Order: sequence, then structure tokens, then C-alpha cells
Amino acid sequence: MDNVLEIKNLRKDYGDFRLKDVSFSVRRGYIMGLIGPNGAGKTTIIKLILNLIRRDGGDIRIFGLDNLKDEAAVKSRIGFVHDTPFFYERLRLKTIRAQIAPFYKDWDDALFHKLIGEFDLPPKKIFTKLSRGMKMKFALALALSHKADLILLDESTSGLDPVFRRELLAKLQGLIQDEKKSVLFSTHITSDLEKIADYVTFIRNGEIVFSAPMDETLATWSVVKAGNELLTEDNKRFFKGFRRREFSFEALTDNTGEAKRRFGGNAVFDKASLEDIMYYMTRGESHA
Amino acid sequence: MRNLILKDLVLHKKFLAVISLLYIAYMGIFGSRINSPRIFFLFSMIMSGIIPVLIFTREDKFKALSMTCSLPVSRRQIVLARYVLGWLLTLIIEVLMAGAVLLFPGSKLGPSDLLNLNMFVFALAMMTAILSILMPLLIRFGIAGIFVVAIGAQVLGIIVLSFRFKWNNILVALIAAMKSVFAFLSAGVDDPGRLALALAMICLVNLASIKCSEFLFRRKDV
Repeated sequence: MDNVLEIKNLRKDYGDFRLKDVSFSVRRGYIMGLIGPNGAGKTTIIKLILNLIRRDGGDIRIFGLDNLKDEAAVKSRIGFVHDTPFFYERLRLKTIRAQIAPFYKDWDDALFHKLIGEFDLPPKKIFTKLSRGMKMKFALALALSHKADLILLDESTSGLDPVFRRELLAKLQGLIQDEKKSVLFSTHITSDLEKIADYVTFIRNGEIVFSAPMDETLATWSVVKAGNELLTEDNKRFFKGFRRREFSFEALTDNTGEAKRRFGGNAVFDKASLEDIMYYMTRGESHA
Repeated sequence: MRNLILKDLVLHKKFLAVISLLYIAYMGIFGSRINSPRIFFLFSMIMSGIIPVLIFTREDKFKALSMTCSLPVSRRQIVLARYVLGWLLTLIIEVLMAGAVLLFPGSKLGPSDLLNLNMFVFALAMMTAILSILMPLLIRFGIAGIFVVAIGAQVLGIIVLSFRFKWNNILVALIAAMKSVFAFLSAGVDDPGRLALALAMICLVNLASIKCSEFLFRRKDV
């Protein structure tokens, strides 16, 4: 197993929110999607990876190195886009580039200018005058221009128009074709992940619910629709979450085979999307 | 570290130019009206020491610290870069202020008053006193840290005045200690032993301040 990122028993206590023994890994050459509702801990994990916040326990290894002891070496191989890109607002894009580029020994100026052109970013424009989407594009151009081996994207597609989002997803897919680069992509837009992610990690209330290959997740999870008479106490325990209507219910299961055995022809089975999984596990009822 | 220093210099170049010119002009006029080089260095060091502090508070204003901390540098390098930039800026602006005083028509201070070893050590001591107190608080708490110093000093003054009779002995001892430090610095450092001792003390205080800042900055959530 060739992991670029390994997180073990990561803990962070904010008082009103705790990240509880989070463990998962990202394999070299793959895209990992990090999903979860607001306040689940996605941004906290990305900040901990970049040592922007202090961890209370656990271990983070990137490229086999400790992210605290080898901070500079690790970060030189990471490209990042924060959920809100903050730069010195009154500067022109070309000035910001001039300040950031010297920090990276593998900075590729030709690639940066190519990306700026592709993203329709005017280099002489002042950062503060850009729209949120344009700011995100600029942050992405900076993140991709130093040939990082691990790209961290924190809600990076949320401010982007659908056309550019699709282009970005294609770019990320192209990026990992050399099987050396990897992406950790936190987002609310689960449909983006279904298009490109190889693995998915679901986090809720600071805890990892599951971390698994995307195709396996989509194959094993399903939404069961049936009449309320089948919603027995035993079946409620079987489901990960359910929603009761007047005469019928919809429920989420991570064991489609067992569900088919239990309900047979009395229920309808739909493949669960990531959005279904997030919805039922966050907002659906569950057996107490 | 060089990249961090250059980044801050370039990002704040306009602000630095404007504020430095204002300060140099002000201290040029002020310094030419007094005849004590120590008073000039005391006030000018306070003013020039504030400039790097103002630069670092601008990082708070732009919320750009998370960007700086995401770059391939360690927190220790960020702290060291800030100290080095703080010392450099303070000393450069101090030299320019001294130059302005000497060039100002009718100035009461001459080159021999300002350009001597005693005044150099005195200026270094003042710079150390200002930056070594402000920097750890600034690095950990941002502009709020500076307000804490300002308000804390006033509250401390009120408390001391309120209990001046009860704590008379302690106060007398503290004032005597401060007097002896000033007396040491005022007595001159012509003797190589005193010079070495003064420089060693300055280095130690700066080192302690850097270590304190590193410890505080490692614990800061960005």
C-alpha cells in the first residue's frame, strides 16, 4: 500500500466540537473525497494536515514524513486551496505570484501563465476586485503551479460556475494520470465526487463513518422503499437511517444483499448516491 | 527566511514608505529641538519599533496568516523572519531618523552626540526592550496583544498607585533596579568588559523573547 497521506487517531478539541480519533489514508495516484455536513470536521482535518491548528493527539504522516517535524519539506509538495482564499487583497495577481513563487523550488512559471490563461484571469487585476469564483481559480492556479504531489481542496468548487467546475474536475482527473499525484477533495457538492473520486471518506460530528473505495460504496449502499408495515423494530435497527412517510418509508442500508433477502419483492431498491448517504445519515431517523 | 522577509517588505512597501517618511520628518523636527541624545534615542526607538508591529498587525487585517502558514515554511522560520525584519526595519528607520536630525537646520545635536558606541548600545537596548516585549504578544494574539499591553500597563499603574503605601518596599526595590539598569547604560560602555556584558544581556533578552514567541506561535490556531 503506497499512501501519500496517513492519518491515525487524530484528535482536536474545540470545547463545543471534538474531532474523535479520525483515521484514514490517501493512496498515491488517487482522488479521495471528504464529505460530511456543515461542522462535521472536514476543514478542521485539512487545517490539521497543514498544521494551521494544533492537534490534541494522533499522527499525520505525509509522503512518509511527520507533518510537524518535517513541516517545510512536506508543505513544499502540497498544493492547497482553502474554502475562503485570503491573500493580500490590494495587490495585483502578478504581485502575489511574485511573492509566492520563490517559496517553491519546483515552481513552473510557464504552467502558471498557462493556467492563468485557461482560467481567464487578468494578471494585472487587483485580488480584491475578483469574484469569489475568480479568487478560487487564482488559488487553484497557485496550487497547481508548483507541481505538488498532494493537492488539498477545501470546498474549492462551491463558488464556481458549473462550466468551470466541470473543467476543474477534468483537470484533477488529468493530474492524477501520472499515478504520482493525489488529491484530497472536501466538498458539499457530492455529485462532483461521484464523477472523479476513487475513494470517499464520510465524516459526521467529528467521527469517521466510513472510508472506502467509491465504486464499492455506490455498489453496496442503497435506498430501500417499502410500505410502513415492513418498518419493524428489527428492520429499523438494520437501516443506517430512514424517513417515514404517511404510508411508506425510505431507508438507507449499507448491505444491499441482506436488504434484498429481507424484503424481496416487497420493496424497491435504488442505488444510493453520496447525497442520499449524507442525507439519511445526517437528517434521517435512526433506531435509538 | 529570506523569502518571508522579502514577502513582507514587498507586500507592505507603500505603507512602509508613507509611515516611515512621516516618522522620519516628525523625529527630524523633534530631535533637532532637544539637546539630549538619550531622549532622542528613547523616543525615536519607541516610534521606529512601532513600525514593524504595525506591519504584522496588517496580516490580521487581511486574514492572510493562514496563507503564510500554508507555505513551505515552519512556524519557527516565520517567527525568526519577523524578528529579523523587526530589527532591520527599526535600525534602518532609526538611522534615517538620526540622519534627519543631523541634517535639520539649527539642530542642537551633532554627529558626535549620536554616532558613538554608547549611544549605539543604548539604542540597541531600547530596541530590545520594545520588541522583546511586544513581539511575543503580537505573534500570539495579534493587535489584541498590543491592546493588552497598553491596557495592562495602565491597570498595573492604577493598582500600584492604589497600593503604593502597602507595597512601598517592593516599589522602592523595583525603581532602584530600573535606576541601576539606566545607570549602567548611561555610565557608558567604554570598558570592554561592560560592553561585552551589555551586549550579552541584549542578546539574552532577545533570545528569550524569540523562544517565548516560538512557543506561543506553535500553540496558535490560524
